[in-house]
Amino acid sequence: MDIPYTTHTLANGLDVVVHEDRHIPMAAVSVWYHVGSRHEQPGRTGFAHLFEHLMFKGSAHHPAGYFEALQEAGGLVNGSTNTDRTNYWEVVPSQSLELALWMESDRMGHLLPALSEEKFTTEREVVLNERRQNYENRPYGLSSVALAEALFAPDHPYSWVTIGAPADLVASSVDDAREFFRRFYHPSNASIAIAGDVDTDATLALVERYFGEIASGPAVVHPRRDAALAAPARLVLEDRVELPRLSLAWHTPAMFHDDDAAMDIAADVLSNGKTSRLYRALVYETRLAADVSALQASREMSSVFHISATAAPGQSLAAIAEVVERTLDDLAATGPTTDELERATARAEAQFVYRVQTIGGFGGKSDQLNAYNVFTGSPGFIHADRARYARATAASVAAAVRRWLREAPGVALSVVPRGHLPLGLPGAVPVHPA
Amino acid sequence: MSRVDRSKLPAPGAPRPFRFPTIERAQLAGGLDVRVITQRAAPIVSLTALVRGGSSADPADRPGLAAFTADLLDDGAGTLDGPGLADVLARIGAEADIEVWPDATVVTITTLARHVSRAASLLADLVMRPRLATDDIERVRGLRLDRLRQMRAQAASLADRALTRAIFGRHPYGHPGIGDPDAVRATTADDIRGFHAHGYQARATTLVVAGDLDTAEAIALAEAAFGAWVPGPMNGAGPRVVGAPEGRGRVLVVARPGASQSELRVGQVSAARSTPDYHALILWNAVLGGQFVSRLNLNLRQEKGYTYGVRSGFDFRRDRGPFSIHTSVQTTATADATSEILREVRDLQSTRPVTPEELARAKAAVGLGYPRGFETAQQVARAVAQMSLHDIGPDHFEQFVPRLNAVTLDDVAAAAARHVRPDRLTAVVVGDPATVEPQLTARGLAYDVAAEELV
Repeated sequence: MDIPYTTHTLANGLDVVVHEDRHIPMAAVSVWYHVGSRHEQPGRTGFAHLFEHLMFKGSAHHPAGYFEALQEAGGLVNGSTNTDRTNYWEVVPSQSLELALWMESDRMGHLLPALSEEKFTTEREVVLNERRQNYENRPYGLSSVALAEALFAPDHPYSWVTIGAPADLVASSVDDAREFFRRFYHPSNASIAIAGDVDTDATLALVERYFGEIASGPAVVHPRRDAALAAPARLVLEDRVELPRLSLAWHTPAMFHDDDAAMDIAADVLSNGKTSRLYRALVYETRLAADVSALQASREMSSVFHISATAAPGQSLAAIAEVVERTLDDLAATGPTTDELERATARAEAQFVYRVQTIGGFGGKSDQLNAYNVFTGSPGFIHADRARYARATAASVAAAVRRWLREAPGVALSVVPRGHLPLGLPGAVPVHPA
Repeated sequence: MSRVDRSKLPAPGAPRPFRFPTIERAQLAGGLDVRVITQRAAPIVSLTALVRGGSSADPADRPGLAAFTADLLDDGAGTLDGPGLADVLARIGAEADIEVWPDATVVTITTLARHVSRAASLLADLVMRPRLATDDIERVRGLRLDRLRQMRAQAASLADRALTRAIFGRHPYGHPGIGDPDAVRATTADDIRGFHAHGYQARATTLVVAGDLDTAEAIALAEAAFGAWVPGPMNGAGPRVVGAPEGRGRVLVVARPGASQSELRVGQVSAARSTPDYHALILWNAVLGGQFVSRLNLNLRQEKGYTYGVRSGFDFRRDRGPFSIHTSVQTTATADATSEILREVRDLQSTRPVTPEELARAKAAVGLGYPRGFETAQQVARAVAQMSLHDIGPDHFEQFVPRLNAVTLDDVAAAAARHVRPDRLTAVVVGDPATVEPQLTARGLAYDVAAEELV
């Protein structure tokens, strides 16, 4: 699997990556800004994501919304924010590539004249609705907030969730948005990848024309903080749920570290399908749990390994916790079996192929090229990325599990139906996430 | 100083031609319908088996039977038990997916092309030779009951179920695919084995093979894997089409005390996939709420900030399917949002019909973007499976955009008038009754409180 590309950096610092794929007459444009919720300050959370919304509300030379013109051209358009980056993308008929570049460059270079108090206030309401819909009004929705608060010190940039605290959002102003744009939204903190039915030279010329005139901005300092837990934490959260759920979390190494791949393989061995150890021990053979999942959530500064299991009716979280502990002890002692390692690496290898079937959107080749470029400095990092999985052995996975999940403390969060605190693990401390 | 003309948006160049994939067809001796699409973009093949007769084929006293049966397919089939199947799938880097639609059960295995022959034989095992063993049935029964219990806490799922039940009643489309706890408890091993034996028939099935292989290879593969499937007694396969009920306009409140947001659904029984108004309805819906820039989303999200988003859509099925509008709104705006949604639908059919500009924009948005749906083998396999389910002619891909572009303003208005009746829309609100009910009363929206058994 290879994604041939051409790369170039404009004088103002903007990275450009182009990949040709003529399979369908569409072009994908992906713009990444290296700013996420970790660039926010405590008490001012949720701003990177709220700002992402404002980027769709119009720019100096196109003050109307961004969806109209692109949708009318037959394009799809969207964006997303996480802890480490914000991305914007279009997938347009290839004859409208220039339109997409015009619009992306106008909001990179000329957003502020079009940003009004009224747009800001309405969009803040939209985001508050997004928060309630996906967190407060969704079963277990607040557990990610509680885990972030428990895993990290209050001034650590990963201690708040990207959507932000409602009180912080309410307190934010349009002036904050202007300041945020000046600091983070400029060519030297951005990367644009274009994939699809395009001509490389013509595309590079178009990017130079539309983005070359935008002034570079102040150097961005990307927060770097270590993450470690001094002692194990045991917490309980009441929520509108039917069945209690146990969520365990530990600090693990950052994205693209070798142990990050090892923990990805450990997650596969623990919970992917009917052959996996936790699924068998908790669901398939015992019916202690209604479901179980394990996940290495990779991020730029440091990652988090999650295990989550929902109790079957009448079963206790303590019984589930005991099985998880025993299973992790076993994996740490001897590592995956040959069968387990073969399955996990075959699946990982296939995922590399499936991930680049599309030219863009959420995921796809343009997004992948940008991810590698922004996080490693090399759009062609896919080979090194795959090599991490090929290098993993039973011993390296065992060592990673031992080091990160056995020798280091973790957080155990019980989420229980309201009024049923005793259904949490014994000794768990009630929490009320922001 | 600027070298860029920013006084106007750049005009698009000439559209690039696109050749839609060709569908090759064959029929095996047992009656299996095989459709092949070669697509060389990636070393991937997607195999889809579509078995006609989904949750609408559930017996009236066994809602959820089709889904219960489908859930068991990968718990052991042919010579392998559940973990054995999972092992082989992982080793060939495959993803298996089982879905139960109202009119069909759909099993898809997507794999790396070099493993396609193994994938085809696995797919045949899942569809033709599931074990349906008693201990697996008991385990899966427990898991399905757990899931039903968890759904009681999910506002979106409560809203979907309440709307479905309210508009379809006892029609075969009137129950959720998963069924209800009583039926899941009452379902026997004989029910499941009987449903499989009668429903999963070669003549009721279409196999779609899409991706990095040629037609001859694909047909040889189908022969090898499915050639032994002999025609069985065709009874009960296919949905019971009994005609949909007419709705009556009303508002239904499902109480969720203390809810921080209100889930809203507005809908009614509407058009079947076979309607000649298909293209006109897609365009009408694009104007109303089928895309980000639509009347509903511009009003409720962009102007008023009531919601993170609102969408509308037709679910075209073999019989008349639902037209519905979905959103989640801030509690204090529940009645306003409900009445705005009802007003927007009413206005679109009376005082503010679709304008020429809106129609042109909808055609452009839907038509120019159409080739996006042909990017991956899975997308193509799925689209071809749907064509087979709905007996759509082979020129569908080529003709979709020309037919869309031929739709007139009169066509749109007439189609909407035939298939959407604003006075018969049912609105469902899942929210905090103490906040929501006084708002509805103040707005003059009469409402019923949903009985427990409805949801």
